[in-house]
Amino acid sequence: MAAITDLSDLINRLSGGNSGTPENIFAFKAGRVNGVVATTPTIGRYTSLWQYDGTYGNGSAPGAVAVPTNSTSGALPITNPGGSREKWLTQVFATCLVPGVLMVYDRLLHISGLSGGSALDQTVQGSSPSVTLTRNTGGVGNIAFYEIYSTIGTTSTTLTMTYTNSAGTGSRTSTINIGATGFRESQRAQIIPLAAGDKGIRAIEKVKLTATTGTAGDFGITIARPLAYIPLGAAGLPGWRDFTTGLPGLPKIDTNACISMLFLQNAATVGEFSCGFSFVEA
Amino acid sequence: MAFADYDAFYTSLQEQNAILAQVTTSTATNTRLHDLYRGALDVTTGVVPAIPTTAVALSKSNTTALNYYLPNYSPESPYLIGARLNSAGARGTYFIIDRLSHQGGLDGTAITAQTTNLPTAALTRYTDGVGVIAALTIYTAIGATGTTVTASYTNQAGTPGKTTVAQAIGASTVNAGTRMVILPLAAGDAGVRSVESVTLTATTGTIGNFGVTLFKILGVICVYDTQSLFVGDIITGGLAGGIPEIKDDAHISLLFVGDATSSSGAISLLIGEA
Repeated sequence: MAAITDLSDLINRLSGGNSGTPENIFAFKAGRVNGVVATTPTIGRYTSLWQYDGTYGNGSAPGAVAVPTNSTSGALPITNPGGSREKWLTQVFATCLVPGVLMVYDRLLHISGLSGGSALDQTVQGSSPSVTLTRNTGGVGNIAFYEIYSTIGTTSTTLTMTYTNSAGTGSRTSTINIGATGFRESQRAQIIPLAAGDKGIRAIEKVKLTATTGTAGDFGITIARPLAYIPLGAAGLPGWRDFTTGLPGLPKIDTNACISMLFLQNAATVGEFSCGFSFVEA
Repeated sequence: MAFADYDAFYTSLQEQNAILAQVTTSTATNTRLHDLYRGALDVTTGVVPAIPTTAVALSKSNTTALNYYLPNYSPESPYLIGARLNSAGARGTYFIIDRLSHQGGLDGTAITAQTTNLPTAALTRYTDGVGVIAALTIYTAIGATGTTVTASYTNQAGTPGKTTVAQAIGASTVNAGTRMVILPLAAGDAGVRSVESVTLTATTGTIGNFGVTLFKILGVICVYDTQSLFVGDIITGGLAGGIPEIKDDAHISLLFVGDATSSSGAISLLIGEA
């Protein structure tokens, strides 16, 4: 590993010097899932773009708990850094036909196949996990969200998540609403808050609904590490972040990172996205 | 080669070596993607380029290449390092692309697999297809009836017979001339080497004329104001895509997504040599 020492070093590497191996990936995401128009989103709520069709193929409901990587369908097809170098995100660009905020994240762990009709414990990683995080394993900064893969019920209830925090303390719990309009439709995602004082997540043992939402459907849980937020201020206008000149500096991209996106909608219209990512190694 | 440091980069910016593009006034569909192949004037004649017919692999030797007058830089390389732009009518995003291959003559009413002027001409750059995007360019308006379209393609691994995921075409937002329709790839694919056929699910109602375009995006210019001069470089902002190398034989062209229904402008792409 070597740090990017200064702007001259960054320019040198971005233009291919000093084994910078610059990688620019531009992509489009259609407002469709498996060839069908995506579910109408909800204003002020997150839409998961994991399953949106696009120029690098879409993701699917993961089924059993798993750690996705950059080779998983739906992940931005980045290459891993060579030698002993690390990979850094230098710029992100996006535009969409509706305004909102795009969150770019590393998808660390995911599961689907959970039921909106059950009020019993539903295992995510379990109390003695066999599938564990392989990136950002300490958990600081990791978030969790539920993600709807197939519509659940119209009755609002409460989801309780039992997890291990970034300090390694297990049996922590937090809650969030789930079910009913705006919280039941396919591709909806809702970030689950952490208990007071917690700074991240290492593992999620289980989730439990207080009562049925009325329909089993299919929902899942995802652990993610946010990498960047890009405001898209108006329909058709671009947003971009240059981490050379803007906080939080150059985000490090872990080897095998599964980069995906959430979109915080500012209109109840299915988005079509153009986006670009620039990386460099050091 | 590479820029040794900031001084080398700055010196290149000061040289003001530029590709000049004149974007003609065109009617656009708000917030949607447009292909400016025929929206930017031929740099040698000042006229709108003709609609493609047979499959062609494009290069700098085509007069429709905005970089037609650039010299060959070998053994050094040209890089996109900055831009000046005056956009009238619309704010939005200009995509700077290397247009690799295109063809025309497809029919908005045919519902069988269309192979007219297909397959696309073999790539002469980015030949492995990684990151190469396949799209449909509408050259003459097709019908107002919405339907879906798929294409049979060969992916970046050289696997033929892959099928793109159904995408909307026709209807009022996806039928006008200059509109571009991106073809989403099958799960697991990350690029395209060629397109062999295109199939509409149903007629759009009008034959029109559309074709397949294969391209690689090099960078984007973000424009937040009209009737004003935008100046940006890859370091200080407004221009995304790192410091992309432009292959000596690239065919530079433009795409556009805007926030208004008409646009025109003058664009200078600053080229650095290293």
